[in-house]
Amino acid sequence: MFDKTQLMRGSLEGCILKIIEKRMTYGYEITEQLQQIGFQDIREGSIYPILLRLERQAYIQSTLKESPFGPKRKYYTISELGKAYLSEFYENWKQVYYSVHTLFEEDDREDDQHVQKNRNG
Amino acid sequence: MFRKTETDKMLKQEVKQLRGVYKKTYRDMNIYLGSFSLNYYAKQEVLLELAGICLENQKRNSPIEEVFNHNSKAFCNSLIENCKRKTVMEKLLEYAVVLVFLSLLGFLFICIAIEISEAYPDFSMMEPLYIKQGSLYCSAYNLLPLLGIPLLFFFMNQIQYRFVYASKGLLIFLLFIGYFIINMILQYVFKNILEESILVLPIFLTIFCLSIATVILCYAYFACQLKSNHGIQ
Repeated sequence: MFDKTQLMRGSLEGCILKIIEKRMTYGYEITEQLQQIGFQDIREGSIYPILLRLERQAYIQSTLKESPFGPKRKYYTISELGKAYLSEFYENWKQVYYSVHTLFEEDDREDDQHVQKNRNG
Repeated sequence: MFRKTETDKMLKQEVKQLRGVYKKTYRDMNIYLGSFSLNYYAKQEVLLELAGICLENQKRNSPIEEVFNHNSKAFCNSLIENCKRKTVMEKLLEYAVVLVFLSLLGFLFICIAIEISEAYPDFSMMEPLYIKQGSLYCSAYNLLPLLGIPLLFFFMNQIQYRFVYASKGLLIFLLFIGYFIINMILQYVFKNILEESILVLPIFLTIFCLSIATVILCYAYFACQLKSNHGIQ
């Protein structure tokens, strides 16, 4: 069976950065947003190591603030370095998307032509 | 050794509020992370975040296992990969502090032993010969910490990992008491040899230390195997 997590792993970092770019947020909110846009299997535990790595690489910065549920949590904001990395990610993502799309579009077109021939024949 | 930061205080407050499975999950992860050589401040920050995650889920009444995809060990491993490690300086400092502490403790034990031997001359293991050769014995006494400290650290982490309910402080205290008792027994066992030649004692102590070190190493090796197989779920 196809392992969706492998496919998600590469893009997750960029998606997290994009969410943080929009506004200052923390782990749980990021998870909720990711789930809303379709990353159903994502849990807070999955994104925390990524957040830690992004912070270590200075792409994001954190401040401790009280969360809506009480405990103090790390709220993240994107740094200038992070913004540059994000635009680089997006450019690369578009290229990958275009390549995959083109390849599958050709297949789809061939399939359509085949169906059309069968109908006419 | 490390100054208490604001993070430590906040962490203490948040951990106090944890209950049941949330507290257990936090504690297991804390112990697991503690068995790795992570930078103190970086580890405290991670723990604060973990406590926050557990506390939030406790308040929301949502199952904590789901947060870590039913595999908190894998979660901890990915944290460890991204967490700052202890620097060589930090390790040396830790080693030096324990060495000084054990040396002082050794000196204190020797002082106590001299007092006992003076008060009770019949106390067979405390012969005047031992007192005269105190400086030589002191250096032999310090041999064990020198050999044993790196192993001691490893051993303590393993033991705390295995017996999660035991406090690290209590275990260290018990180990010191054990160290003291073994030392007293050794003096008694080698009493006759000691009278013949004082130089034999450091040699025997070295052999004894090496034997203990071997036992600890074997234990640590198997404990490591156990840790990798029966770690946190």
